[in-house]
Amino acid sequence: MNCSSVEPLIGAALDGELEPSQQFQISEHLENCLSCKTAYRDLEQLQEDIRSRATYHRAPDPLMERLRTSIREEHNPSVRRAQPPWKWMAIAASVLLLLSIGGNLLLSKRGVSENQLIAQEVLSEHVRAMLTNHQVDVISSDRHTVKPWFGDKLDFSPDVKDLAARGFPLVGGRVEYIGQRPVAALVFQRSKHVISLFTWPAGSSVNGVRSQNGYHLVAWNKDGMAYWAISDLSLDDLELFSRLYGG
Amino acid sequence: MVPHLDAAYNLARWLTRRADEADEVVQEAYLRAFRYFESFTGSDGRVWLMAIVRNCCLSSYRRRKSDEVPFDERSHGVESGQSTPENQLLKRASARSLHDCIEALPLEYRETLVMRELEEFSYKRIAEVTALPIGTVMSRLSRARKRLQDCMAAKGEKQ
Repeated sequence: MNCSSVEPLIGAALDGELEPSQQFQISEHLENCLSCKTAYRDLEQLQEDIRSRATYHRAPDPLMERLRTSIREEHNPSVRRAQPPWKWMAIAASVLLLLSIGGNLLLSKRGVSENQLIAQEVLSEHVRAMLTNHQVDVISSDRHTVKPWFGDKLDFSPDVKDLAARGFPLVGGRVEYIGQRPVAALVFQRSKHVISLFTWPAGSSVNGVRSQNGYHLVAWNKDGMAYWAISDLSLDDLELFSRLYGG
Repeated sequence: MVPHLDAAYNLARWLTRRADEADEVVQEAYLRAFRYFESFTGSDGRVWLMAIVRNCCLSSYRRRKSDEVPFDERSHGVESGQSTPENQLLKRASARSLHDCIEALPLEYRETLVMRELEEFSYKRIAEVTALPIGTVMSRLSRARKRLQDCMAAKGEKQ
């Protein structure tokens, strides 16, 4: 490739938006061409400047309040502002759920950052276990072996289900540390895919779906326990798993 | 909570360049989203919402009959692909100049840049929001960056 064919693609190369073969050709050219290399670095610098210094305009607080009011009035013009907030919440829940699909977890306002943090930890624990091939400390497809194994390691007893008949055989379990506490990690399999299910007692509610780095996360609460399932399975399959587990 | 509110507001604020107008646009967008959410069949709520915000911005822009010169892709083209020594030397930019230069971009370039750099959307997502081909997204982004570099260089933002 020569400079005239490389130059228009430098930005896309920086954004990682080219086909791998093209990306490779560009980096090869950059190695040998000072002028294109400089152009690339300038764009990189520009990108860094924008991301670190350009204003990210966060929504002002009063706007959220006005939005709630106007959507409430939209729904029912006769409704007065004195309407209890739960009514609006019920109306909005379906909208929010829809908007949240595939994007963010539907979370209580208070729990956003905490749950985002947990999602991040769940993701990294799962990926780390996959990469180091250290998925289980107790290997067993028998829940009557796995459940007691946690006995002296945790201050709670996780619900271990046998879903082999439904196509999700149990592989085993291990103990992880998430959200500043030890949690049970149960490992299941679906054909070649591995599912990690993290569970621990939790009072705050969590419910939703999130996709990140090619993984899907499904979270739910049941009987005072939080459940976070993560896998590179299709979202449909993971949601099936979650439903079978009672989510 | 209201999902994606910051993303919606950020886009509206950069596109309208005015706080009061951004407020109005975002309210209108969420009302529309609320009214038509049954028609939403995609899988990415954020893209869907951003498309609505963008449409509301464009309508507002037209209503306001801005005194800006209408956008003409040709006249905003980059004449020569060659970088000048000035923009090659673009370094650590002051936030003020950066802000002014982004605001000075034509709307079509500004929205592409904001979605790419501040929301870190992929080209595909930007293409979905704007209903443009990915190639157009790529070329608009490239021109936006070129203009930004030129603008920063003109403000003496270089070492």
